[in-house]
Amino acid sequence: MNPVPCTGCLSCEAVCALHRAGDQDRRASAIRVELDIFGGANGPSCCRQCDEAPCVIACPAGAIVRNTKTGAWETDAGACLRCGVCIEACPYDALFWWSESRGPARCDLCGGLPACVEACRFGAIRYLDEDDPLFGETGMPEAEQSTDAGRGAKC
Amino acid sequence: MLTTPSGERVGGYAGSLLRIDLTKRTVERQDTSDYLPEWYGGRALAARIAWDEIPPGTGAFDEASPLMILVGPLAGTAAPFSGRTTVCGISAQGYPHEWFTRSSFGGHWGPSLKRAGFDGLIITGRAGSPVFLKIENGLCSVEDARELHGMGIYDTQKLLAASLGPGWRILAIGPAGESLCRIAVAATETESAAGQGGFGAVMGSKNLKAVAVRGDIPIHVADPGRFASV
Repeated sequence: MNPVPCTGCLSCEAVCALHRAGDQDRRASAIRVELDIFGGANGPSCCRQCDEAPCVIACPAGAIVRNTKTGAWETDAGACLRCGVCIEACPYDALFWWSESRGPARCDLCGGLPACVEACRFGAIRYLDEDDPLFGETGMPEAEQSTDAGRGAKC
Repeated sequence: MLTTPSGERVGGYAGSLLRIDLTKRTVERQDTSDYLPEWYGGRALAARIAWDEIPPGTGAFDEASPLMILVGPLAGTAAPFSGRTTVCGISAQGYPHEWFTRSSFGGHWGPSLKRAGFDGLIITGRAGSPVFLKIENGLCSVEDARELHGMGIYDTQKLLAASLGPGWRILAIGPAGESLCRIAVAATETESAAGQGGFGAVMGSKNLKAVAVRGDIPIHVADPGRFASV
């Protein structure tokens, strides 16, 4: 996630919701862009698929498991207690409450080809491996440093 | 999903229009399906309402002159370039021949109105003192805006956001609109303004300082599979 080119258009949220809920239900979206009052954005937040994931460690039901095919962390809806501890544990604020029946909204990488990456016309979201040379450039560490970037800095 | 009187299922709409009379401070809900499927989109729907309800000779600043702020079926969906909001009514800028016209603005206000549960607002009347509308998840209230009087559009948004909380999108007017300047804009965020027609002055004539919207109601799409592939 790179906050610099993010314009806050929310296309990523819209396609994610459509992909996950089959509807334009914003609560279903596993990627969110927080907008300030003037529509400024500091880039999207979405699950980074941490190796030692705080949400997995925090989950009292052990309901978060790796999908062996895609490598994504997934919540087992049957085992999930809907307690919301994972949302609080996430250091990147990248998990969101969907609904009582669905529990948390969590990125499943769309099975390997994330729809948000395709939808972002500004290159603010990339799907890269940690070993990818581009990762350091636009990946997580640098993005965290430039908190005043994006459209929000305008006003 | 919205169903028309003829039984046709229509996606994209929230299903309700709000009719707000600021003189009586009343809010009424009307089904959007009253105008569907003939009058798709904000501009067409407003033109129909104007044709039906604005008598000849109505002036921009008359109490009975309706200010219509409407979104179309694509607003709030993943469709690209779909978020615009149409503002229609009798133009103040057209003086001395005030006439029906339209303007529009972008930003996140329109999709937020849809998520708050409404396809549009039809505002008539004139409040006794400055007010703003607060619209959230199917509810609308007329609130006191006397302390916002005289403030610019940025300051109005900042102050309202501070008192209302996060996630609100605010359409506001500044001192020009309040003073009935005939080229006054109504604007949201930094650069999304309805300029053409002087609808800021029409809002000002109704003593309507701002419209704040917030919501998370899902917007149903008729055929999500085909919609996504387009």
